[in-house]
Amino acid sequence: MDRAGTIQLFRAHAGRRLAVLAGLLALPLLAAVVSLATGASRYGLADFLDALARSGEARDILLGLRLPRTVMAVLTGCGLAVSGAVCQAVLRNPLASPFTLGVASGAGFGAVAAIILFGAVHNGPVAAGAFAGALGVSLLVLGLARLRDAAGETVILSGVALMYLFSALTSFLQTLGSAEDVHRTVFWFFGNLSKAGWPEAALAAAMILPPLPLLVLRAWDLNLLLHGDETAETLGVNVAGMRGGLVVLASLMTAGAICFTGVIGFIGLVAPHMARLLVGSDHRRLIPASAAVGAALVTGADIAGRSLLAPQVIPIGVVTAFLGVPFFFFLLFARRRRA
Amino acid sequence: MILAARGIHLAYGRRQVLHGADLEARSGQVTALAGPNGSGKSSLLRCALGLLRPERGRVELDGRDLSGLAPAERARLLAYVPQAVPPGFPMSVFEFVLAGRRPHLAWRATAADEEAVALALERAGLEDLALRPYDHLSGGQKQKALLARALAQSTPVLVLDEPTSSLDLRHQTEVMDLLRFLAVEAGIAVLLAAHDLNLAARFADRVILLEQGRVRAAGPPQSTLTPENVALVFGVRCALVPVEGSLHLVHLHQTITEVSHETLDRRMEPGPGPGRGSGHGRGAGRSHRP
Repeated sequence: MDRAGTIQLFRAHAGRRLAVLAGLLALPLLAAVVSLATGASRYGLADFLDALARSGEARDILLGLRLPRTVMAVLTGCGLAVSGAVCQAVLRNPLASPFTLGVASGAGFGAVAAIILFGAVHNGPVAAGAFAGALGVSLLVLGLARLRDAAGETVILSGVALMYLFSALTSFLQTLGSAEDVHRTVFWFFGNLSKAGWPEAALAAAMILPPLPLLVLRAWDLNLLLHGDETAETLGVNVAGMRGGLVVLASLMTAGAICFTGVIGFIGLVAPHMARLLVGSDHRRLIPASAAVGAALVTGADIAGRSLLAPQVIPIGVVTAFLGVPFFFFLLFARRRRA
Repeated sequence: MILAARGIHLAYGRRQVLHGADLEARSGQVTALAGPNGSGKSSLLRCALGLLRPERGRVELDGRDLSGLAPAERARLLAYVPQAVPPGFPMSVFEFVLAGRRPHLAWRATAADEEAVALALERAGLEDLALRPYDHLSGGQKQKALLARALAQSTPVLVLDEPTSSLDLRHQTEVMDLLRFLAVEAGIAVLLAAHDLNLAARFADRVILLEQGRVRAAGPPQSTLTPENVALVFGVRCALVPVEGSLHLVHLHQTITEVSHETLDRRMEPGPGPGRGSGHGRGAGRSHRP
């Protein structure tokens, strides 16, 4: 084939993936609309459109309950998925995610510690605690990855051990706390969107959304990390500095997703892989695609959790585990076969 | 352009691997860095690339200190073809090679970038595999993709760590012919670590023979890969014979009498020792020098 033909093929291929990305970006919107129309009260979409104009119960339910919950679901999914994509590139490990590395548990521990040890009442200090916890565990994992091959299973096993350690520490803290504090923290174990109101959603947005454009702008650095540290270095990336910056951003996004909803597992693992299957590993497309898939997955899982056994609500963390565990096994065994 | 490393000392922890080694690679020439396993070839290459910082010694590019260059600027001057082969994440060969354009592009790949990738793929003989997933390539094809990625980088200096180690005989000569072409026609300075002394003898303009972190000899193959030097450094008997206008290294029967005690000791070490390349002479008889 001649060079022009090769370029033509590549452009057509990239064009198709861009079209898929455009389609993906519509997905969370669709999920959000369905989510708004789903709930215990029998209000449908038409009632809402009607209710937007007037005050009354329908308006309160829409703007005060369902909308913040939906916004939180979209933000959480986006934060976990993008932070998962970053973890996977930074460690060059397809099994990495905020959940499997223990970063999410670290964030949960940080938030609970802020409430119980430091008596945090407002959202700000709780979020700060979650960020500190997430960052601490991320740095620990990076340190472990330096000792051992980051791409291997050892790092993931260490991450799972850290996840248990920080879950145990969180339980331990709860035995120390007052009944009221414990009540505020108990939902961290399940992952739950029902505690989120507008103030929480606003703070989560402030932690999750600003890193997104930064990551898309630095997408090439993420791409180069996939080629190995030495190659990335010879292609002009300051690998150590880049990795540090990325870990801070990923921790911030994880903390934003976790601190008001609890540990929602597997989204950070599953969503980036789904996005990669659809748009490839180029992070210029993968970051927005992961955000869209993650947002749609969490919103969808929340819809399922609210409607499958209605009026009972299945905690969202339970739904995502049903989705995520088989996928995790699939990744693990596909990898073993190749190795 | 001249890439020069002078008086490089390097240690990993307490193990000293380079003891004042020198290296020079010039535009228009293929320079081969040869030596047994563990002689410090890869370490010296990494120092020359700026990947490792030596304890003592300097690396210069046309007289400018390499450590003074910004990473992006260095990436437009030096390209590296490593041995190891990461991904494990799905990407096409074209995308893989496009990464080599990073030092030249801002965010969007321009038509010039795509053209450079297509040319690199063509030179590496991968043009028909452009959209194939990188992970589906054979070992040899992956090695060529690594080379193509470095070619796409369009640098005046190309550094390769054993670029032919997983290639069969025909692909070895293809890659070495390409490297000669790049040196002679495109004026690139090609520096490679070479396991295979015969390839070094046939294709390199200059050979730097490394022994235990020191340079034993440097210069054209006929003055460096002498039977005496090869016997001392590798502990094998050989002869350098011209065939159809290029030099070939052929192995002779082992008589250990002329091998020094030091090298004898090293040959007793476990693992792939200096005697590993027993098939070096096989390629003799055909000349691929353009």
